[in-house]
Amino acid sequence: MPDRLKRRSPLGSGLIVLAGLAGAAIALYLFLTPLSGVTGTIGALIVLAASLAVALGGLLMMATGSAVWRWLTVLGILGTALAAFFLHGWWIMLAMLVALVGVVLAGIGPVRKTQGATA
Amino acid sequence: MIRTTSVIALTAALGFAPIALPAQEEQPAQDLPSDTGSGDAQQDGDQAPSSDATEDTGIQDSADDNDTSGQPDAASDEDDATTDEATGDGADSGSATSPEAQETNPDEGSATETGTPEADQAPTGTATDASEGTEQARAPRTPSPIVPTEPTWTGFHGQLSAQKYSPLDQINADNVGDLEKVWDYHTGDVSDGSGERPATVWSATPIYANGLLIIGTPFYRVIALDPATGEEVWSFDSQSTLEALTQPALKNRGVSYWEAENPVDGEACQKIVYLGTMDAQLFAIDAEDGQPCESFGENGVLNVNQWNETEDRWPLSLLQPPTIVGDHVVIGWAGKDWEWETAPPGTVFSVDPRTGELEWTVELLPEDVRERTGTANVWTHMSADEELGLVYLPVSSPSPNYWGGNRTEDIPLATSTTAVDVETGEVVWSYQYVHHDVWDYDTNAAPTLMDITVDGEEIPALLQSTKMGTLWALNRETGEPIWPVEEIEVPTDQNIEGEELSPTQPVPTVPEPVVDLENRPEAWWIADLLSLGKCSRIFDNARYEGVFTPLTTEGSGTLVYPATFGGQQWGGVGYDPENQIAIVNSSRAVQMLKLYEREEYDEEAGGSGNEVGFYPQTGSPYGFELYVPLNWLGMPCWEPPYGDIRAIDMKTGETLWTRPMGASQKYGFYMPESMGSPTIGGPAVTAGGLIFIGASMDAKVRAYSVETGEELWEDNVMAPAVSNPAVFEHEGKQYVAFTAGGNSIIKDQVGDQLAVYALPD
Repeated sequence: MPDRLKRRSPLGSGLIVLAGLAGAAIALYLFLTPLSGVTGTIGALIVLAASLAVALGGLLMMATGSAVWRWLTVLGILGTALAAFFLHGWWIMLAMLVALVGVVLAGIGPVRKTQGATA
Repeated sequence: MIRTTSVIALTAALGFAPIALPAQEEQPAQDLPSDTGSGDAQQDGDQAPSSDATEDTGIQDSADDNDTSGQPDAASDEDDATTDEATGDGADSGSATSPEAQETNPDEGSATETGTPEADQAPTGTATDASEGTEQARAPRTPSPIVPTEPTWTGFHGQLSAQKYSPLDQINADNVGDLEKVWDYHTGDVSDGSGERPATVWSATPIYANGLLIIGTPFYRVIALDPATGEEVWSFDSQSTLEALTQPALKNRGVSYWEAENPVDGEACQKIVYLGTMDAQLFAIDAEDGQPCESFGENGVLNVNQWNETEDRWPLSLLQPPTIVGDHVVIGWAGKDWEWETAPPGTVFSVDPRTGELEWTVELLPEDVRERTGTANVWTHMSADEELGLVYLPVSSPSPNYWGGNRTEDIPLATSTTAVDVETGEVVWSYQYVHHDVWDYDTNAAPTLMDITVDGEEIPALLQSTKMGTLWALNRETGEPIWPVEEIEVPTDQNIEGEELSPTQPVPTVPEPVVDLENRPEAWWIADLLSLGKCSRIFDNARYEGVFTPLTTEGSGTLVYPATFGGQQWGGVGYDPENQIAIVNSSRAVQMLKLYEREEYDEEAGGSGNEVGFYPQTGSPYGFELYVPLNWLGMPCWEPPYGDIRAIDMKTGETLWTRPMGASQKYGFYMPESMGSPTIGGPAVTAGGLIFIGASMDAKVRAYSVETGEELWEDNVMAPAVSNPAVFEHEGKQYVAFTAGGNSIIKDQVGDQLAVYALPD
C-alpha cells in the first residue's frame, strides 16, 4: 500500500452527497404531501431510498476514491433519474443532474494528496 | 373472426324496425301495500335518519355496523347481464323485431298484484310514432329544452338530455390555463376496505340546485355546500347500513333534485333532494334545510324493496340516483348479478315526487321467463325528452351474466335502449344491441339526446354508448337507426351445456366503434418479454373470434375485449349542441373469462373483487373466473393505448380527432401519456370550447379543447374522478366541480374529495 493516496478534490463527491440528500428530501415531500400525485406510493419510497443510496455513494467516493464506487454511483444516479421521470418528479431529476455534474467534477478535479497510513 | 359476409339488415333500407309498441290506455295508479317486501330493508323505524343543518359535521366516521340483513359476501358489478336471442335464427330479420316477448297479462304477475298500470308490451314489429301514446297525459310543466339556453346542472348528467353541456363560456380555451382550485371539501365518508367496512366507490356528480352545491356520499349522507366557499350549509345522515349487500363496495352516484313548478314560500319540501341507499331505501330531503320530507313514503323514506317480489335474493340497491322527469321520480336499481342463476327481474318504477306513491312500473323481462332468469335492470342513469314525454332506459342483460341456457327465448328489451312514456310507463319503442347477451354487455349509460342535422335534415336523435365500444345513433322518436346497422354472422360453435347462441349480432357502421371489434389485441412485447412469455401464452391459449366470441371452459378461457367494464362506462357521451360534436371517452382493456363446470368450480374457486375473481352463478351449470392479464410487474399484457377520448361530428358520424387520454399509473409510476389510461367516468362540455374530464387512472382532472383535442389544463386530485364533472354558475362566476372518489376497477385508490375550480378574481 502506498504511503500517500492521491485523491480528487471532495467538491465533486460532496456535490453528489448534497444532490442525493436533496433528491431524498423531495421524494419524502412527494410521498407525504397530499395531491402530489404519488402520495403514499411505493414508487416515491423507492426513489427516496435510491436518492439516499446516491448520497451514500458520494460519501464512499469521498472516503475511498475508488472507481468502483464512482461507477456504481453513476448507475444509481441514472436509475434514480429514470424512476423520478416515471414519478413525474422533475425536481428529483434535476437533483440527479447535479449529482452527475458532481461525478464529472470528481473525475476531473485537481488531485489532492493525503497522508496515508504507515505500514 | 366475426364474419361480415352478409349484411343482413341495412336497417332503414330493409325495413328495420325497433320494437315498437302500441299505445295503451292509461290506467290509474294504485297504492301498493306499504311493506310487502322481502325484507332486506332494515331502515324503517329503528334507524331514524338525522339531519344536521348548518353544523359542520364534515367527517362522519361510522354508521352502524349492526345491519341484520346479511349477505356479507360481495360480488359482482351493479347490474346483471345478458339478453337473449332476439331474432331466433336471425338470418333474415332485423336486430330486434321479435314479436313475442314482453307480453304482460294485465291479470297476472307482479304488475297486477301491485296494481301498476303496466303496459302491454307486445311488440308489433312496426315503428310507432311515439307521440301517439303520450299526448293524452302531458305534464303541465315547461319542458327542459334539448339545446340548453341557461346553465343547468341539477342531475347526474347535468341535464335530462344527458348532454353534460353548459352554455357557460367564462372559462374558455384561452384562459383555462389560469384555472385554480378555489376550495375543496372532504366528506370523511371514505374507506379503503382494510378494516371491517367495505371499500368505497364514489362516483357522484355534484348537483347545483337551490343555490347550493349538493352531493351524496357512499356512507349515504347528503351534504349541501355554499358553492362559493365550500362551507357546509346543511347535511343529512340516512344512517343507512354500511354493508356491501349487493355490490362489493359502498357505492353512491349522488343525488337527484325535484322542484315544485311554483314553489310556495315557507312551505316545506317544495324543493326536494333524493338519496338512495344500498338497502333499497329512497330518502326525500328538503333542499332548504336538509330535513326529511314527512309526506314522502313513511316519514321521508320510501322502501323500494317492497316491490322486490320475485327471486328477491338481494335488495334493490339504489346506488344511482333516480331520474327526475317533471313530476315523476323514475327509479332503477342495481343488484348482485354474478352470484346466482336467477335474480330479481328488471323493473323501473315511477313514484310521485311529493308522496312516493307508485305511479307505474315497467317490467323489462317477459313474464314467462322472470322466474327462470332475472334482472335486465336499469342500474345507471336515464335521460328524458320532456317534449316527447319519453324517458329512455338503458337496460342491462338478463341473469346470469355468462350463461344463457335458462333463457333461450327472445328477451327483446334486454341489453337495449327502451323508450317509455313517462306518464304511463308504457313501452313506446326499444332497440336491442345484443341478441342473447351472454357477455354482460349491459347498456351502461344514459343515452345522450341531441338534435342533429344529417344531409340537411334535422333529426331528433340520441347517441347510446355501450360496453362493447359501439355507438348507436337512433331517432329518439322512433328508435330507428340514423345510419345503417349491419347484422353480422358471429361464431356459435361451443360446448356449453344448454347454450344457444344467436347466429347474428347487430353492429353499427357509423360512428365507428371506439375499439376494434374483430381483431384480437396483440400481446405487448415489453410486458411479454418481462414476463418471460407468459403474456403471449395467456393470449395464445385463449379463444378470441371477435367481440361476440363464445365463452368456453377450455384453455385460458375467452379473451374478452373490450373488458366487462367497457368500452364506455356510465359517464356516457358529452355533446356540444352548438357545433353538433359528441365527446366520447373509452377504455381499451382486456379480460380473460373462463367458465368452470360446477364440480370443478367448487374445487378451484377463490375470492372475488370488483369485476375480477371467481363468481359462482349458483344454480347454473357454470361458475366463472374473470381476470385482467397482467405480468408480474403489474403491466398490462396487451398493447397500449389503454384508453382515449375523441370528438365525433354528429352531422356525418365521422371522427374529428382522437387522442390517448390520461396516464396509467402503478406504484406511483406514470406511464407515458401516449399510452393512455382506462377511463371510468365521463366528460362535461362547455360553450367555452372545453371538455372537462377526470376518469383516468392517474387521478388527474383535465381540460381539453373541443376543437382540437389539445390538453389545456390539468390538476391532481385525491383519487380518480369517476363521474362527470359539474359546471355551474353561482353569483355570476363559473365553477367546475369534480368528485375524486376512485374506483377499484381501474385503480386501488379511494378518495372523499370534492374539488372546485374557477378563474382567479
